[in-house]
Amino acid sequence: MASGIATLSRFWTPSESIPVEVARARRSFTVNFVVALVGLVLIWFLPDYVDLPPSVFRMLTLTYLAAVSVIGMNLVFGLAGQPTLGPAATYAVGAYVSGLLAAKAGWDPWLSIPVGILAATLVGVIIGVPALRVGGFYLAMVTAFAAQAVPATVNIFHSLTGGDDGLVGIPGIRIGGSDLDLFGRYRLAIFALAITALLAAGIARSAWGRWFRTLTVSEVGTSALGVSVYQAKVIAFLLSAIFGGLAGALYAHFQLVISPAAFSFDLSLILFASCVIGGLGTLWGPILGTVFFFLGPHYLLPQQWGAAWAQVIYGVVLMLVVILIPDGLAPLVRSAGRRLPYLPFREQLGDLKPSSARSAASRAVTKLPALLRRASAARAAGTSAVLEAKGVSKRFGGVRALKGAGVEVESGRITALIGPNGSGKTTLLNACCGYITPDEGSITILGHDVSKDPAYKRARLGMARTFQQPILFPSLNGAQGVMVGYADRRPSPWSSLLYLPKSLRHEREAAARAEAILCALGVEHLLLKKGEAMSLAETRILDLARALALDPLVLILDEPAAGLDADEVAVLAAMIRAARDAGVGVLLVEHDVAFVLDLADRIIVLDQGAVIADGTPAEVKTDHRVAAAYFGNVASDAEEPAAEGIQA
Amino acid sequence: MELAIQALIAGLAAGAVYALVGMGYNIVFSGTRIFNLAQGQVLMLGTMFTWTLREQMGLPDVISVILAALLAGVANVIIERTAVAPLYARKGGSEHSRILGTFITTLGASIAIQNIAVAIWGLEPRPFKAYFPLTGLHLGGVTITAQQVFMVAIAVLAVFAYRLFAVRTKWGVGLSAMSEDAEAALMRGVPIIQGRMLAFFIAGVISGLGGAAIGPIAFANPNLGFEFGLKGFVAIAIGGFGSTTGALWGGMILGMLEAIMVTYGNDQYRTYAGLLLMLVILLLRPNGIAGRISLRRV
Repeated sequence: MASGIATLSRFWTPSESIPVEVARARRSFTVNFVVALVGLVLIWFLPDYVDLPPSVFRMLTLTYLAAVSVIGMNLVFGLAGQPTLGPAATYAVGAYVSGLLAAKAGWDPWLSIPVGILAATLVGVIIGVPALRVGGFYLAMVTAFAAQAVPATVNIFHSLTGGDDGLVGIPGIRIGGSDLDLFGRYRLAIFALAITALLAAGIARSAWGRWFRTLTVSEVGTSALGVSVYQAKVIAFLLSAIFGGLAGALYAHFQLVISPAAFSFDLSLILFASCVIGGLGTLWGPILGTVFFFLGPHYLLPQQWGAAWAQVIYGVVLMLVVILIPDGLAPLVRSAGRRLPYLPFREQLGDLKPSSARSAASRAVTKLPALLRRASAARAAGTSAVLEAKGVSKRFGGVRALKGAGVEVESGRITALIGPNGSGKTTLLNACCGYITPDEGSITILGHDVSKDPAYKRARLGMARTFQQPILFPSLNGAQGVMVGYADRRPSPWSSLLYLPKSLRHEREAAARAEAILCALGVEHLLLKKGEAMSLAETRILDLARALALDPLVLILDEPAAGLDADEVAVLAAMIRAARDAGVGVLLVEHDVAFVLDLADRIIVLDQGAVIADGTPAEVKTDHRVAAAYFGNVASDAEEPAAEGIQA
Repeated sequence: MELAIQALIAGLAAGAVYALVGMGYNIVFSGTRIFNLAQGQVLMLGTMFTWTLREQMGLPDVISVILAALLAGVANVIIERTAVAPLYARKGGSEHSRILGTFITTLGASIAIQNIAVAIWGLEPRPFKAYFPLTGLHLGGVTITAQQVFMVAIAVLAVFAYRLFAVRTKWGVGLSAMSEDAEAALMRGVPIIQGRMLAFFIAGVISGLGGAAIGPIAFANPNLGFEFGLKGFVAIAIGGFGSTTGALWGGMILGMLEAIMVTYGNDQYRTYAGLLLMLVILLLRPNGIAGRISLRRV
C-alpha cells in the first residue's frame, strides 16, 4: 500500500529525473482519468439506482453513440482544423454495411461491425483523399455532399436496403449466448464511448496531436517540422471516419431497423454543432457538447415549440457560442473546476525566473553541442557546405524574381542573406525550403539534391527554419511548443492511438529535449508559460528553440530581430552564436544591417534577383555595388544592368 | 438525341441559378476571405419573398422580383451584422480562427434561417405561379421555354452588371482593392466594414434574383436553401474561386450533368452529379478551371 502511494506520488511531484512536461502531462492525465472513471461508474450503474423510463435509456444510448462519432470529428475538425460537415455519411455507411451483412448474409454482428468500420474508412478515403488536397471549405462541402447523398444511395439500392421503408431484420448483438437487453446495449455504448475517448486522448496527447494542432496555426510551419501536411490531414480524417463507422455499426445493431431518415443531413448538423459547442480540440468538449445537444432540446424545450424552433435555437446557439465563448463549454467547466479548493487542478510547479542574458549565453555554449548531434557530427566530419543553392531562377508572370542567384551555408558559420526590398531574398529562401519550385537551379543539403523534394522531406534531412510570424500556440505551454519540433523516431499514428511504448518513449524524449534546449538557452521560465502570455521576444526565442529541437544541420532564420529592442536582440544574437558554435550552419535573412554585420561570418548580398556581393562583413561593407543597391546609384555606375527585373 | 438536348437546355437553365449562388460566394469571398455558408438560404429567401409579394400581396411580377432581391440583399447584410461582424470586432485571434469562426456562425445562421422560414411558410412547398406562358420555342423537336431563357438571361446579366460595377464605380474598385490586400486598401481609405456590408448586400441581391427566377421550377420550398448552397459551391469549385464568369460556367456544367444523370438514370442520381464533379475537379485541378485565388493558403 505504502509503495503504491509512493508510486502514485511520483506521478504528482516532478523530480529531477523526469522532465517537467512529462510530470505535468501525467498529472493531467491522471486527473482526467479519475474524473472519467467516476463519471463512468455513475452512468454505468445509473439503471441500478434510478428508476427511469426505458425511453430515457434509449435516448442516452443514442447520445453515447453520437458522442463516439463527435469524438472522431473533433480530431479532424477540432484538433486539425479541417471542418467536416458530413459525419452522418460515415455513420450511415457503418450502419448500412454492418446491418446488411448481418441481415442479408447472416453474418455475426461481431464480424460485420469491423467490416462496417472498414467500409466507413474506405468511404473516408474516397472522399477525403481528393478533398484534403485543398482542405478547408472543400472538405466541408464535399463531406456535406456525401452526407446528402446517403438517402439517395439507400434508395438507389432499394431492393437491397429497403429504401425509405428501412432495412429490417438486423440481428442484435449477443454476448455470452444471449441477446443484449436495453441495459446491456446501454452499457455497451458506454464501453464504446470510454474506449473511443481513451484512444482519442492517446492521439491528442501525442506528437500527432501536436502536429494536428500545428495545422491550424500554420500549414507552412507544419511542413517545416518535417511533417507532411497532407498525410497529417488524411490521418486525422480517417480516424474520424473510423470512429463514425463504429458508432454507426453499433447503432444498426441496437436499433435493429434502420432507415435513411435516421441519417439525414440534420444529424450531420447536430453532430457538427455538438463538436463546436463542447469546445473544439478539447478532451471533454465532444462529450459535453453531445450531451448538451442531444438531451438539451429534448428535455429543456417546451414540447409545443415544435421541431423548427428547436432547430432555430441550434443555429442561434451555434452563432452565440462562437461569438461569446469561442473555446466552447469544456474550458468553462475546467476553469470552474480549477476554482474548487482542490489540489490536483492547480499548477504546483511555481514560477521559474528568467535568467540573465550572459548566463544564458555561457550555458548555451556548453550545453547545446550535446543536443545538436547532427550538426556536431557534420562539423566533426569537416563538412563544409551543408546547404547549397546554385543558379536559382524564378519567374512570377512577367517579373524575374531570381536570376541565377545562389547561396552557400557552411557548417558552424553564420551566412547572412541581405538585400533591399524586392531583391528576391524571400523567394530564394522559399526555394531553399521547398515552398516554391524554381524554374532553374539546384538545391542540395549535404550534397543530396533536394530540388524535387517537398518542404517536409527537406526538414527531415535537417533543414529547420523560423518564421517572421513565429509558430505560436496560444493554448500550449513553451515545452509543448518546442516538443512540436522534435521529429526523431516519430511514432506511427497507431502507436499513439494505442499508447504503445514507441509513442510514449517519443513523448518522454521530446519533453526531455524541449526542456534541455530551453534550459540550455537559459529560458526555462518559458517551459510552463502559455503561448498567449508570451512577449514577441519570447515567441521568437521559442520559435528558435523549436527549430533547434529538429536537430538541424541548417537553421534558416527569417528576420529574427524584427520588432525587438536592443537588449532582446543581444540575447537572440548570443543564442544564434551558440547554435553556430555547436556546428549548425545558420542562414540569416535580416533587415537590421547592424545586427547582420555584428553576427555574420559571411554576407551574401542580393539585388534584383542576383548575387552582387559575397564576402566577410568587412568586405561587403566597403563594396560600392552594395552601397549603390542600398542607397541609390551614388557612384553612377552606368554600365551596371539597370532595373531590368522591374521593367520586365 | 432530342431527349439529351432537351435535358441539356433544362440543365443550362438550372445551372444558371446555381451560378448565381456561386457568384454570391465569390463576391463575398474575394472581398473578405469569408465563406458565407448561408448564401444558399438567401436564394431560398429570394424565392419566398417573391412568392409572398406576388401571391399574397398581389404586387406585379417585376416589382415583386426586384423588391424580393433587394430584401434578400438586406437579409444577407443582417447575416453579416449578426454572424460575421462580431467576430471581426473582437480583438486578437488568428486569421485561421476567424475564418473558421465565420464558417461556423454562417452555418448557424443558415440553420436558423431555414427553420425560421419553415416556421413562417410551413414545411410543404407552395405552388409558384409561372411568370411566362408555358408554350415555348420549338426547334426541331426541342422546346426552349421562356422561363429557361429568363433564368439564363438573369445570370448572364448579373455577371456583366457585376463586372461593370467592379471596374467602373468607386465602390467596385474599392471592393477589388479589398480582395487584393485588405490592409493596404484600408490604408488607402477604403472603409472595410462598409465594404464588407456592401459585398454581402450585392451577393444577397444576386442570389435573391436567382431565387426569384427559379421559383416556378423549384416552387416556394423553404428547405431548398442548403442544397442550392452546395450546388453554388460546386459551381465555383469548377469555375474557380474569385472568378465571376467561372461561376457561370461551373454552374452550367453542373446543371447539365445533373439533367443528363436524372434523364438517363433517375432523380436519386442528382446528388451524385455534384459529388462526382467535385471529386474529379479536386483530383485534376484543385483551383478550378479559371481560378485565380488559391485556397491552399486558407
